[in-house]
Amino acid sequence: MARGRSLLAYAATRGLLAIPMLLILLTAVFFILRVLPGDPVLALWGGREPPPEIVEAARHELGLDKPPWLQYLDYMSRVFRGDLGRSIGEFYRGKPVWGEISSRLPATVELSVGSMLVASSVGIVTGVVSGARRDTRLDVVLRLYGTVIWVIPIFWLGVLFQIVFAIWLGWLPPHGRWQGTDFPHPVTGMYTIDSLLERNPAHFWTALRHLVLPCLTLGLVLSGFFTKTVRANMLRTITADYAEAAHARGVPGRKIVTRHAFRNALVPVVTVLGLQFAILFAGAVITEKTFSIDGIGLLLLESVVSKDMTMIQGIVVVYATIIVGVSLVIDILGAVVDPRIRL
Amino acid sequence: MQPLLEVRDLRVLFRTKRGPLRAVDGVTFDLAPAETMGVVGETGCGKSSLGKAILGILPPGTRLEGSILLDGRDLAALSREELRQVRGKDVALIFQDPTTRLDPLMTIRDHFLETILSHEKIARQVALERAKKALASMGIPESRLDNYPHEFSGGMRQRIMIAMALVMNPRLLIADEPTTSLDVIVEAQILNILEDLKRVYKMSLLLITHNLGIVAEVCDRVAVMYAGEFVELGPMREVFKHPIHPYTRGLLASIIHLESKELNSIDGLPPDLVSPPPACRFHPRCAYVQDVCRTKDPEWVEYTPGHFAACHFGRDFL
Amino acid sequence: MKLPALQRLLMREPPVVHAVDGVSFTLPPGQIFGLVGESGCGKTTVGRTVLRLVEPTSGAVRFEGKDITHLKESEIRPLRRSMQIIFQDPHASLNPAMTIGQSIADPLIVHGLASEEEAKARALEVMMEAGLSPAEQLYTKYPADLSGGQKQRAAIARAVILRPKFIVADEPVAMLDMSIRARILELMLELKDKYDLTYLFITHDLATAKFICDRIAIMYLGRIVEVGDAKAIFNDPKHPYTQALLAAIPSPDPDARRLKTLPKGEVPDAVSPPAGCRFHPRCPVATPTCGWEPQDVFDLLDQRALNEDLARRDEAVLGPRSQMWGDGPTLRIRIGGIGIPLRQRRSLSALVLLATGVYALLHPLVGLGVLVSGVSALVITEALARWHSTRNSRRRGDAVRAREHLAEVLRTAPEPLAKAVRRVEIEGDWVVAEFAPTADPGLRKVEGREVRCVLY
Repeated sequence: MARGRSLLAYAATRGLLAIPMLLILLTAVFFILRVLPGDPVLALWGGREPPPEIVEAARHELGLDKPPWLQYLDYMSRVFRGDLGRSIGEFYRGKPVWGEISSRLPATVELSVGSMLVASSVGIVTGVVSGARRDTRLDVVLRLYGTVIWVIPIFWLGVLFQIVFAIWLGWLPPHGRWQGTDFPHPVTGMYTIDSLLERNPAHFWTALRHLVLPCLTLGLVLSGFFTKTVRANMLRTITADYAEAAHARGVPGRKIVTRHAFRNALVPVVTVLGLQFAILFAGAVITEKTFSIDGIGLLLLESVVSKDMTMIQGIVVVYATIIVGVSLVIDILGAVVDPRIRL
Repeated sequence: MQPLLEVRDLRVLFRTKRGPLRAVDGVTFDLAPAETMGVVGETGCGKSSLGKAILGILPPGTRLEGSILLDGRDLAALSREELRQVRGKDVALIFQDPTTRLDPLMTIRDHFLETILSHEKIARQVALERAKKALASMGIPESRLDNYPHEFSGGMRQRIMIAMALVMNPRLLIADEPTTSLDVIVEAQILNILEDLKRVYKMSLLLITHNLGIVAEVCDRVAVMYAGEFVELGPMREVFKHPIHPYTRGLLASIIHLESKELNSIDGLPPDLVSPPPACRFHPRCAYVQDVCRTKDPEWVEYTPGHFAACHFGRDFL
Repeated sequence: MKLPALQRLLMREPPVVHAVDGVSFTLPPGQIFGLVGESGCGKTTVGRTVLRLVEPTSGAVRFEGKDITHLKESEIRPLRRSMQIIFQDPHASLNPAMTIGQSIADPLIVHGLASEEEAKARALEVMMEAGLSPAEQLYTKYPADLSGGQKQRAAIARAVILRPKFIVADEPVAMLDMSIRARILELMLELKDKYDLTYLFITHDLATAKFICDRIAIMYLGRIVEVGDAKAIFNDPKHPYTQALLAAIPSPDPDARRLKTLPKGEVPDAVSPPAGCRFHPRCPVATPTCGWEPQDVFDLLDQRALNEDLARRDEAVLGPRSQMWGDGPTLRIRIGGIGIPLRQRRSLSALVLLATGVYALLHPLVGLGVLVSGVSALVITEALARWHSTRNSRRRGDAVRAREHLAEVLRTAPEPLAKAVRRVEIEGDWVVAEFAPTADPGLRKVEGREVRCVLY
């Protein structure tokens, strides 16, 4: 019989595979942005026709006069050294792209991780309850929740939350990020983590309160997907042959749900988690706009408006890298849960 | 001798959109300690539901009538928690397809620990020792405790299932088509194991199968089931040599075995159990059908000691 | 019809599994040829390869004298009319969205042989022949409305509607209830007479094969072990595997109960089949020349591991299984200088590669980075492996003890295995045991059939 490979071997091979995956992604980013309509140099001049020698100089400065393959090699080796170039947009002209991105990244990471926590915990709990209590009134309500929340526009839910919790009830701040001056000393840039590092519970509380509404908005919308997937899988696993066999061995019903049905239902959910992250980033753009959080999503919006080619490219590269990393972690997570994947 | 299991007028009614489906409809029998009884029948005759009914693992919404006495204790009247404690401890069940019956995410060790600790509050180490012994008795070394189900062959998985059934030392083992998905040599190996169980552990065995050859190999008595009812019940040798019910005769004649000289079969289809035919349920397919078969329920008659059948003309077939 | 040397069918890569390895047989017109064996023996693969549903790695299939092994799909399509297949699961083989009648008439329309009207008339005719009556009524029914037997009748009707010459029947009655199997077999025999059909009948059930087949081939792990006239084989099976199969069938005769000497264990993994005769590890009458090899010693150690004391002694003296290798007929057990197990070594080098790979990508000259990282990965893994090995090295005395223990284990092994041992010696860091070399016995002519066994 084939014995499973060790988890370590799987993680290592999967890690190696991430490298070509990243290369392909970065290559794709490079070429897709090159074929997009709109000349970045002309865009610099905001629609006016610039003198040819200035265009020439700008092209030279941006390296656009070199042959494409050289441009590509140049781009690749720069990307790997963390050099994403300088902005050519009107808002950040001349500033290093990475500098701008890194100053915004913490806010987006805080938002994403928080939303994912909300989405998965709410989604998995509702899905499990709904699946385990099939066809009860609770199940019907939760199914309805899953469908409705999934189709609600993010900005609409965001504005609703702002009105109810911030303006009417006044429980939480309406704005996405800390609007004061008393910030914790930036180590990671994430206020929650930094305030914890300073052991300042009051600061942590403030940072957390600011996070609640945006994370709830984005997280709840994404949770609908989890509710539906987990429920569908629970229905399958709770009547699976091994669950019946466990029942026949006298295993208590509660344990059949938590140990057999739940764990098996999670396996397919984990495998699509990576896709959810991609959707999460798209949702983060809207959420950041709604709550005026100064994150990468907002930066991306600005760059698109100003046709800031290098900035867009930089942001996409960062997103791509994060997605490759996240999917690596998720695949390894999948192998931890399901021994058959390690083969 | 006091029977270990007494089933009295057992009925299982599944809920369907078209009305109640009578999967088991008035089944009565006894099973003595250390006895092996076979229940044979075709697909959909209710034999698997009978096994699950005894264990109390029918799907929710299913109605159960009649009584199931295990050592005088009525399993049908127990609370859910009491019944759970019986399952796996006093009565164990092994299934047809061992590939799907083990949780793919759990090691064999965890399967065993879960089973044992569901019934007894003992230290994990003690439970593990018992698991190792049970596995070794099935020819599987303890070094494989940490393997996952997909790392075993079909025959080994079935031996693991049997080991897991044995680990609580139950008095009754219900085996539902235990060898159907296995190859013929492995099937014979598993049958040898089942025979050993009876000899060594004095365990009673209810063997549910469609394969009459298996019944002839290991059973002391046999019940023939058709459309939710027993149509014949008796000592295995008696039933095979002197079958009474036309269905039993047809079934025996239809087996294709190495000594078969001609091909036989039973024409027609098994009935729909939501609206079974009136009176004798076999009458639409019976070659000897008379008017009385369509109007009057046949009685359950003991023709020779211990040999029962439900046919109006049983005496003519003796 | 001839089907010579269907050799080395490759299933999927990786790993390469020789699902079928060197199978040859010929099938004269009008005959029923049975391919019999347990699951995983390759009988289904042979059936599909004959129809070119699976591509053979090597070998040839000839149909009516014509080599069809390398025909293009467009060239083979006309031939498909003469070659049909019936599957085990009638439910899966009928399209649930088509009525029974449509399914049966479909091949005529697909091959452009009839208009819809004609096809329907022809389908009704075939349905009658296949015992699907009332045909008019069943024509508009869907597969879900039919019983298993009726569905298999429909599948048969669909197979014969093109008036084929040759039908591969892959376990056609295995999923049906006992009481209707006979009817389906009778139907197949009737149709055979009516249309002069030739059947390749694939089954795991020897009793069915005995009843219906003229000639049979018994397959085990991708090879034919016995082939010949069905009557001759059933009356007097020659190959120990055939004998075991026949003995294992549960007999419905209560007086026929007998003591069975069953083959040990189960069919081994087809990825690395046993050397010599593939049945030798399980064979009750094996001889020292049947192909004993290191794997048999590993199985023996597994067997001993059921006893706790033996398991502990074996492990203490011979070391872990990861330090034992089979090298053809030679068993090597590493005693001195135990290295890193192969599997760990692979993950180790993967980890080093990962780390150096990151460096390679960060290097301004990516090419140079890759070179440096590759070389350093090799060097680092090797150095770590060597360090690990010196740390775990044992003394010479252990090797002597291991040699004696291994010799003892082999001496007390079942006789054929014990007698197949040529020598047990110490070679440097290794204890080595060598077995008698063997070759596959090949098919030999014995009393009107061919048997692959050294006993004949």
